[in-house]
Amino acid sequence: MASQSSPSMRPLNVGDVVSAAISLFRTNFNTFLGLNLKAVLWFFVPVYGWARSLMIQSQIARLGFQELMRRPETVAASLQAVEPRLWPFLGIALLVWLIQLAVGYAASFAMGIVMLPISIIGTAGEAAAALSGLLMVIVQLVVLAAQMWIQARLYLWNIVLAMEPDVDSTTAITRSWELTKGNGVRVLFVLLVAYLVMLPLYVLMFAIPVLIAVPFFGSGLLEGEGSTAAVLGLLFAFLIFLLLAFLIGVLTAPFFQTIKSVLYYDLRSRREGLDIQFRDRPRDQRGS
Amino acid sequence: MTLLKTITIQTPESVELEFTLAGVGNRALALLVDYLLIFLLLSLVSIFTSFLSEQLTSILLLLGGGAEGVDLWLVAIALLATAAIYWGYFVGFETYWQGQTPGKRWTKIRVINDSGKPEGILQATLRSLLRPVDDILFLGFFCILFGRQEKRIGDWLAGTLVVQSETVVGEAQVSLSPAAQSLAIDLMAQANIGNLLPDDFATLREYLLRRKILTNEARKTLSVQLAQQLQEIIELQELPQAQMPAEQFLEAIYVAYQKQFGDRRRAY
Repeated sequence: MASQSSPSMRPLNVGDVVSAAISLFRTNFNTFLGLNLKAVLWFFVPVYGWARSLMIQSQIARLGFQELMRRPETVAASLQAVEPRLWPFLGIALLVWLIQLAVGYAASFAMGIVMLPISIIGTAGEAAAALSGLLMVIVQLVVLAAQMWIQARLYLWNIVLAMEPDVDSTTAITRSWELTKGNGVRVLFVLLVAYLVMLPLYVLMFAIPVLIAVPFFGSGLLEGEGSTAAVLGLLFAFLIFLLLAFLIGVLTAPFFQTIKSVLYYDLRSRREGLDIQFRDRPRDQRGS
Repeated sequence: MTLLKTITIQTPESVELEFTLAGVGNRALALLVDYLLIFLLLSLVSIFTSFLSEQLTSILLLLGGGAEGVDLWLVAIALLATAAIYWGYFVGFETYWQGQTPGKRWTKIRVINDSGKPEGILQATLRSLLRPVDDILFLGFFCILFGRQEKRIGDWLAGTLVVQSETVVGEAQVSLSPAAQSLAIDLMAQANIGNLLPDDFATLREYLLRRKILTNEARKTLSVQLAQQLQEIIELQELPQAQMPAEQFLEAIYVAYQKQFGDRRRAY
């Protein structure tokens, strides 16, 4: 009963975001998978297809969000909403990619500057070498963390673009930045749990080709180096790996879009009080 | 559509308890935290064992005895310690903390009996013993993902559920400006505070609690919007002061409601 009478959800914790995204994907499995297949096929067409592919993926995120808001949309209606923004999807994607590239270069430049004195310390002796090795690992971890954090802060750009038609396309980036402000680590944790939940699929993706390759490899070793059986076996295993990677990619991509739907909903609740609304009620319930 | 599955348990006294199931995300995160902690503990054990082995061997050699058996003994002890840590960790914590491990506590989930009672030591042991089985080929994961009650094999056998542990909402304090107090008294005289339902009060409270983390823009629009709706609900003809910040008005209504109803009409 309680679940029916409460249209608003409180802000979710990290695990709940992932669970909610999974159930959102499962209830719309066929629709989202079909859309994603379309997106994948479009991706083989250069430029125009890329824009279309990005647009369709963002459409999945939009459909998911609308369902969370309890105003579900048909696929056609959501297409109408996102289609005017076909080119911005590609443009902003490029911009986000460039920003991340620039941050990456800046980080590696800074890392180089920090690393130089550390490596000089390392020449002083055995203990100093160990210390400098440790310091280098720490610096690398810090740089990696910084890059991932930036990625998390920009993560929502495409759903902003799909959901907010009044927003200027370039402000989609600043909107994502604003919404994730103070929540960068939360977004990262959500992504970590999302990958964790998908881990069985990824393990499958590596395990099956290895299992296929092993017998070929064993017989190849017996016959000596460079036997055709071993080479063919490895090639076959590699093809299987590619096929599996493709299938798993197609299967999991909508899930990451529904993660965006839930994150967008959750962050808008947190940062903009989306869920703080007075409920509609019948008049006669008033008074004591 | 309900995003997070719920379950209703009927106690022998015919009381219905509703729980929200933990969900696969929370459980994965809890497991990650717990396994990291266990990994840390096990590394400590292995470091300690190798240190001990080196020292013991040299001591025994110094004493003139043979040192052949020592390593074997140490390996045996280390294996025992590993098993004790792996199973003891889950059994110990889940029994001592009533169904929670550090990972579960962090993700705010809890193991309970199918009947809604806290988890017992026998159930904790069964769950823990079956954990390796559930981990093989991610069997437990798929059971959680596709099962209606999100039970892994260990949960089926032990008769347990993993649910979200309720957080206490009423504890947090709303910070109020001093002006709100006097304004509340005016409002109680001029408006029908009684028109507010507990649900409305809960929404108001939610806003006042969370306003600080809102963006400035959202805070401004939302406070004005809520204030206008409230003014209509409590049938207030005109504001006590001509120029009043929306937030102050909201605070005043909050205080007035509390003064009028106290604990009798709480929403939670």
